[in-house]
Amino acid sequence: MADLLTDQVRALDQTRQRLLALHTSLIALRSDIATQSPLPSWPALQTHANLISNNLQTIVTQLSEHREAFQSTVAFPLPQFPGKERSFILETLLRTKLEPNVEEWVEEGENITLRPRKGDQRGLSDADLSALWQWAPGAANKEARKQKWGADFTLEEKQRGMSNVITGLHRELVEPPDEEGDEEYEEEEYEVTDEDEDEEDEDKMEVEQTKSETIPGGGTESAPILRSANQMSLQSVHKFMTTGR
Amino acid sequence: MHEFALYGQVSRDDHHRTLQQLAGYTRMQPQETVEIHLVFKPRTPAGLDHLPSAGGSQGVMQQDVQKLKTMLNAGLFYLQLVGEVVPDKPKGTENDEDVAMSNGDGDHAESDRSADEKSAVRWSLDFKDTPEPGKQPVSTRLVSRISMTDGDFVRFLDNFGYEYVSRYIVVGSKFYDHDTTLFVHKVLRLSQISADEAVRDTSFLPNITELPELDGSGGYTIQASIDVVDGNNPELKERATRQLLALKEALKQAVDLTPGDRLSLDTRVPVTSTRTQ
Repeated sequence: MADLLTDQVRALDQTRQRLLALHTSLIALRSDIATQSPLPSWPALQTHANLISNNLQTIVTQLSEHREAFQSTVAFPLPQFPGKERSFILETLLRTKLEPNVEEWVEEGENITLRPRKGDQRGLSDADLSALWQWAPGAANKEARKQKWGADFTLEEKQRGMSNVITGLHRELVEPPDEEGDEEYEEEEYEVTDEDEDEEDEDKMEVEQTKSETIPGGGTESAPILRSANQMSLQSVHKFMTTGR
Repeated sequence: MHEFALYGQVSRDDHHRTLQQLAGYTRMQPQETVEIHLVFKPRTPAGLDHLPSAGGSQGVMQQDVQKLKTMLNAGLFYLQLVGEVVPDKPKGTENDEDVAMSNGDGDHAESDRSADEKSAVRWSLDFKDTPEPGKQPVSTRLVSRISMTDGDFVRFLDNFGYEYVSRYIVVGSKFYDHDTTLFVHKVLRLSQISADEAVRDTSFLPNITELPELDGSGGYTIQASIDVVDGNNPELKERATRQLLALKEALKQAVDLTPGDRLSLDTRVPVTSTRTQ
């Protein structure tokens, strides 16, 4: 049997490194869960999960990329391998079947992948899903009605005073028409709405705020880019200085 | 002599601010510098065209032909005659810097005025090698500067096989900090005239501000350099690199200093065979 090519060795080594990285992140997650007395915060857990799934993803691509090489590669002991002293590692390397507990995991995993096809479990039941779709158009409409469309400021900005809004724009900006009645209605509704919608409102406000902030930010950012675009590149200056043309 | 250098750019709007920052950093007033650069280029060796060219159906060149070709090509570098315009003042006042320097602005105006009235040009022959290859933290290259005091420079260079290409002028401000020279400069174009006149011509000096700029945006280039006499000495090399990197870190907020692009600082003359043209 021919020796392994350097490419294949490198692929094996890379796989090992990535498995090691996966191992580390799994251990980190486990120790976080075990040691922190109130569980780690939601974002922290999310980060862990992301990290692990990224690791898994890279391992899967790595394995499928070198599938052929890995499948056709066989380990065999050389005569000079100390078989007696290192019998454990020898057996581990020569074992072609998976360990029993690993085999159980594999079975479990296969069952999980099969389950959605059987229709056992889905993200939302059909009833919930249709309820969501029924609710969504109404909710979107309600949000849309809170604003005066076609104007350049939101009603909220208008309430706070439009002169305070930094837009960085030079053109004439349209202000939303004033309708006292509408606003009162809106405020009443505000009180009536339950927790969930309040949260949505907050989300929406945030979006608007960031939007008004990004406009001046974008303006200052584009200026230096323009300037450096006008400016000759260092390379061409140097080129001219060395060659004289 | 080796030159260790970092380069950066300063836009016109930032120029004044940068000068102030550098003046603060180096604890000195900027020294106005005007340099006339005449670029010379070696003539292609006559025998080069007779050598068979590579490629085509001939395949690989014969080894001895290749050797000959590299021998002929080697040492084809651009050379520059650099004329530093010195304000025409007696030496004594220049050395007496304590009084003159402390009053930065006044000294300034004075030197400008005297440059306007009559200027002497101190010529030197500059050779700069292509920066050393490899990924390096600072650009390193061999440089040599020989001052030329007397004689017919153009004929001298002509006999060496160098011909005049063009001329330009570099104006800017120099600062010194320990061993480091900080030169904020820009390139101005000069009307192209024959080599003999170019050496003597200083008529444009009184109205330098009216000369057209190479970079239309009015931007400046900044060069931070350290000249090391024995550049092969690893200890000195290390020290120069360290100093430049410290400077880069110190000026990080003001200007981005990077090693130069090797390709654009390449002083070798590309050899083109006249036969193929």
